[in-house]
Amino acid sequence: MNVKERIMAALRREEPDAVPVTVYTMLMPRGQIERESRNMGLGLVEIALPVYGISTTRAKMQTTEDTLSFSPDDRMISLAKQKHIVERTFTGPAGSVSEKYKWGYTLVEWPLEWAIKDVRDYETVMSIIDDMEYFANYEDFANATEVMGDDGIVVEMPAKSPLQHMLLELMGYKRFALDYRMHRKEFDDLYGLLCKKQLEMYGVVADSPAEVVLLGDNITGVVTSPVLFERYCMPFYDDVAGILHKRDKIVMNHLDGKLKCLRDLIAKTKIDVIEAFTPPPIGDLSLEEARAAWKGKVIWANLPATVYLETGLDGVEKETISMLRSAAPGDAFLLGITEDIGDILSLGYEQVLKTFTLTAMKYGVYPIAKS
Amino acid sequence: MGADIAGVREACEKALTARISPSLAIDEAMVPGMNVVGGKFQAGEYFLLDLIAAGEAMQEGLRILEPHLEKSEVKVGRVVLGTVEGDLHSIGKDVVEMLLKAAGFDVIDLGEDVPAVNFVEATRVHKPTVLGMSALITPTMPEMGKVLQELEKAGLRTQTRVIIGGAPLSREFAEKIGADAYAPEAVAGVNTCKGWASAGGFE
Repeated sequence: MNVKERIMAALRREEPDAVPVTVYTMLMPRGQIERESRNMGLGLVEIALPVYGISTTRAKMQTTEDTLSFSPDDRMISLAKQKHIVERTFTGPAGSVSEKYKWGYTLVEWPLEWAIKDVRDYETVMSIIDDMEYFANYEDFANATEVMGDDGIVVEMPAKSPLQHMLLELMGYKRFALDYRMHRKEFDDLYGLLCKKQLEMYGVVADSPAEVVLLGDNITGVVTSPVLFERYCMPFYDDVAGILHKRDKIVMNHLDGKLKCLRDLIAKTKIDVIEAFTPPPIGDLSLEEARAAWKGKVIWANLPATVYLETGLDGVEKETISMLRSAAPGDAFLLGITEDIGDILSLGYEQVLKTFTLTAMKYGVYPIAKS
Repeated sequence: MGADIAGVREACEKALTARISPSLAIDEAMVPGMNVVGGKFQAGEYFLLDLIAAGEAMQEGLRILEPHLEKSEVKVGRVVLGTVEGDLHSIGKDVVEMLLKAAGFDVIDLGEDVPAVNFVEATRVHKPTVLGMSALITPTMPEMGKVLQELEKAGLRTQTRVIIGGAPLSREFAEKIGADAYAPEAVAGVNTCKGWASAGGFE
């Protein structure tokens, strides 16, 4: 099997020749060791540009960017390194709202201000969302797939699902916590509209060449409680899975938080793959518990950096072997590095990847013995 | 659990009109209420957003009552808080801040992505009895050790207690870097600070 075949076999619950080992391309510094790791069997996972575009008839967006001045003497400025601020103003049929982001660690946007700052902003935001239309834009995805070849897979990651979009991108957790209790009608109306529009979007995704669709929801049970998950996440996931399964797509969700309180609910969803599953201390379920609870699902686990932070490459080797044995015989299982470990090891990220790949390819041959 | 910010505001104003001591209203009504919420959070019955909603309600009440407190009643201690350099997560730190304020602490929030030098400078300037650091992503964990080393170098380490919290952390890690305590979650962290406060040593 080549790397792509191995990954797809595991995702489709077929028998791979070995447990696939992967890393996101965005976390992969290019160079000699990276090439060696790929030659040894490390698979790449590319999050492609969306397979859809968005057009609006009446709503408009204006973006301004600002780089703040910074004096080295001004030591009490806490945001010392990332100074690049992006402000977007959205104007729609019912008025204007604005949001402010900065470029953060690992070059992700980080919210400083959310569009919904007051309950009166719901109407404006809903008028803008209602004006959005989705159209197919498959060319970039097809190009990325061609470039990837057999070195791994290209994944489509659409917008966060409605509840997580509201929490993380539209209003932030304080507003979310209060509006859920004090302005439930507005809260539910916005959620309902987002579901309707996103299901239109998933129609476009379903027709795309993407075989694997990743919901990048970053769920943790500490924030998204069982009540919220059951009421708002599960019905939406099942609607999305219904649309995508008809076109033989694999549906994954990025669930890297504490999931113990959501364990039984997750088992009931129609999600195919629990991606980025992370054992303690970041998560609170062991791999054995997760495998037992989610028998009908594929688990794509993260090798947790916290475990080998103190132990270096020996720790990488030990933890890789331990996780593979926990997942024995290794069916419906993939092992990846799904968190940015940056420069935490003086040995370097490339050496971690090399050790991880070597160990996994040696001990991950299917079927894996328990000990 | 519901949230009624306007109701809290109204109740606090009524208490002031009825000449109920603001400290009595805080200590006998609001703090016990918050303790119930904190206990339910620790028992897994409430979740973080419940804690946030209750904390926001508490803060609204404090905004009304605090100006009427006697100066001597104002604060039980001072805490400097921040998320370490390289990490932009704020939710854990913000919840701790909210709970600390609700418990009567004076809190100085340095924000997110805070360089070690800023923690040291804030310790020098504000003389907190507790310095709290948060991290949610693994690569930023070593920053906490760096802050402790810098405090040591500046001769400030013995002037403050240090508590750390965040998803990737552990008690063992706290011990290794020389922190005084590890908070597995927000309420436990605040309880540790309260314990230190009641044991004395605060200004």
